[in-house]
Amino acid sequence: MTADFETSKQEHRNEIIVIVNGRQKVVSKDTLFYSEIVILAFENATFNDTTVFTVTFSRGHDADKPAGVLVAGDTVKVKKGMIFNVTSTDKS
Amino acid sequence: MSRQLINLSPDLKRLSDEGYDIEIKAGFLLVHSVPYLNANQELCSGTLVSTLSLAGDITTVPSDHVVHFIGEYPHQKGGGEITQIKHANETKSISEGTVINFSFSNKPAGGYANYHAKMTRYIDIITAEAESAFPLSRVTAKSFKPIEGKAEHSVFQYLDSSSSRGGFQASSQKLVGLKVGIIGLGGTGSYILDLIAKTPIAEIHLFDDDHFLQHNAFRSPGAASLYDLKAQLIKVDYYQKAYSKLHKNIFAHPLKVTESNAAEMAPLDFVFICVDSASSRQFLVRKLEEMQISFIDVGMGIVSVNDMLIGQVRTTISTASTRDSAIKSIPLSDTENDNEYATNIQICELNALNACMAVMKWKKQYGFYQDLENEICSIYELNTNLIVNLNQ
Repeated sequence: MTADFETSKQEHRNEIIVIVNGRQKVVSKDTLFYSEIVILAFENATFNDTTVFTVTFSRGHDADKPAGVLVAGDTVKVKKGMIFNVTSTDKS
Repeated sequence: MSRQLINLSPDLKRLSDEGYDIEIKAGFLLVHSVPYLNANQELCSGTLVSTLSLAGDITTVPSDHVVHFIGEYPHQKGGGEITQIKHANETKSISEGTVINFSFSNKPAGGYANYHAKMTRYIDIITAEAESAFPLSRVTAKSFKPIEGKAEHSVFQYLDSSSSRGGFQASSQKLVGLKVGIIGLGGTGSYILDLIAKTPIAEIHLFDDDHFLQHNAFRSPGAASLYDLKAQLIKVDYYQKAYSKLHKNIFAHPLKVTESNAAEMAPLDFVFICVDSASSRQFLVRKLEEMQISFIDVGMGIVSVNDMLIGQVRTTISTASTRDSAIKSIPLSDTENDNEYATNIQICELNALNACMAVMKWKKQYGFYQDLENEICSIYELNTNLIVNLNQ
């Protein structure tokens, strides 16, 4: 009985709905890497030495920093309803 | 010289800021464009003339209460001459090229404290009659006539009376002498030009080898004419011509910046990189680092979701102490994601926003605006309406 309760709690905790580039995505981790967020936005994104995506987030966890910018290698704690935007900000 | 006298004397500066058409000529103070009624009740325009008491370069308390007038005798509405100011009717020359027709006297107890008080007193008495006779017209001596920039060191074709009126001449001075480059005169680059052309920087250098075509008109400040579009000018020539109406020192470089011509950037103090191609950006960033020139790189990314646009507008600054951090936020390679940037989408407001953010950050480098955040990169996010900063 207790084990079942634990499992269902686990499953529930692992399905976090966030918004990436205006669309709902289901995330099953507590923390996301910069690259994982990019893939959520662009399934076929490729990375090399000079690729830079602009990853911004808001409505996040941290009371100090609920909004911010991620660069390559960064991670961020995921929270339900968090909003991410990812584009290649290279047009003028 | 006379502009300096006006700027240093609070009473003269106030007259100028309030829009009166003043001139200093041969030591006299002239106020032109004073509306009045002549003997036939016609609306005319005259000039009041006063001697100036000076102590070195600024005015002191007026030594007398008399003014001279160039024009016909001012009348009351529906009546005779304005007698309360009557003094002397004598056409005479008071200095070379200045012939007056009348002299007026209206002496307040204690005299006039300054030239603003003195001149506005006479203006009010004379103009009140004209204003009353022509209630539907804009009858005022505050004509706000454009003042040509005669000062030998002014970079503007006409005086920046905005800084004077706003009282922030000291801040504007911080930008004097700078030589600034804009590489890429697309949407954002052209809006940056629109903004910096209004600052007293010494020189503006434009770099781009593209032509100004019809679709460019929809992401460009101001309004191009059909005639302009037919000319198919090179962008830098089109913009140099348009903004030379305001700023005297705009230089067009109709080229794509490469290793062979990069030396043309050498005299610059600061550069705005406003290009689209990754290879251009990559080259420029490395080259400017090598040349030790500070720069701001701008860029936006727009994507479509459910037929609506979302995206980000980015402004990154790179200075001597922030080279490595800045690079982390600058896209240097072309990506194959679905960046929708159709040239027929009118998003010039995003170009303008990017330009505004870039110019504000640039001004912060010189202490024009305060910068407590010292962010290296700032990004405006469309669908959340947030500006997020990257500090490291």
